[in-house]
Amino acid sequence: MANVVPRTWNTGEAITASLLNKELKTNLNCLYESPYVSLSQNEHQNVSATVHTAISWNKTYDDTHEGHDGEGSRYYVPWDGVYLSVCTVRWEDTPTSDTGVRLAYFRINGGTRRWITQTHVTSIGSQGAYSTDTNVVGFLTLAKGWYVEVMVAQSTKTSLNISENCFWEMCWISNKVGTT
Amino acid sequence: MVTVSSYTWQPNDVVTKALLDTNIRDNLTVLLQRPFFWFYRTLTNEAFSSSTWKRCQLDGVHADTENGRESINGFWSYRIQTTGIWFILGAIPWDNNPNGLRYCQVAKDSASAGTNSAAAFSGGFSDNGSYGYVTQSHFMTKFTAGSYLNLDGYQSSGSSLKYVRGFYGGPMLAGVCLRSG
Repeated sequence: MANVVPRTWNTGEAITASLLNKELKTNLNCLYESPYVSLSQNEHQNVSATVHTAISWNKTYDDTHEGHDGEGSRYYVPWDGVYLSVCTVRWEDTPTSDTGVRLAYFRINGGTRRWITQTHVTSIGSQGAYSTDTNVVGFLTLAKGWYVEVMVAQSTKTSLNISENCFWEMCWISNKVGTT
Repeated sequence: MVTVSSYTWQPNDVVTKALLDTNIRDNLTVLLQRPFFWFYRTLTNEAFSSSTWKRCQLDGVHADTENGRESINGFWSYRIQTTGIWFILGAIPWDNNPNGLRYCQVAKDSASAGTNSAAAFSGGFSDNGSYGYVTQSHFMTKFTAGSYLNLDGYQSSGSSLKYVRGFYGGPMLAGVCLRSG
């Protein structure tokens, strides 16, 4: 249950069970039970060159309000609010001669893009294949029912997989204020 | 708004409006609506000279719950209103250029760009001409009410280089107070 705006009390007001349950129980429960989701990708998902691709999250560690759409890419926001969103994307090994860009960002309702991180991959000699991580962190101001995805893209190869070590977590931190 | 010390209720207390507002309304409000700000850029893309720190003029406001936005030294800054543990994010998406370094930092109580890094610093090499480079700084630290924050950038491409307003949100500085006191 989402919280209610704490009321300004009136002089001489009778403090009823209804008021206490609404003002104290609901809001305290909200602080204990705010939305949190923790997802991972434990299969290799293909990302074609320069195609912005939503990560499909096929393992759910925690999803307090059942906002994740099964094994899909979307997390449906259960409450209005400001959320902290943190994602680590690991790309598969590529030869050290490979170059290009790898990026990740959050997308809201299939449109608005926020908090991009780009990693530039450069040749580092003959040390063998290596993987790279792209970590993205951001605040998102969201309304109940909206959905968020993690988008990735790369320009290194015609086709490059993200590895099984990708993680995404979102946590409600405050009531909704301002614009997205 | 900061939290007040939780009141210890006494037998036969007269539960007044003042007690309820101070001890229930105000504390719940600050717990449910954390101090939060989020500034961004609405005007033209600012150009940065090569190898020179420059302060971002973030004129747009997504959120500012405590009215901490203030013009300091000619730049829009965030003045901390609530002492506590803050989680801060700063980001600068640079325009396409294959050369040089890119930096960004969140500065605290800094009169000029490139000084007084608050806690975290982000940097890297750009090496692909088809894409820009994004620097992002994120950290958690304690700030005292009265301190002020700015977002500074640096690039060494060898020529003037802009950031890209509106690109995935553009240059942004945001923060939330996770714990008061």
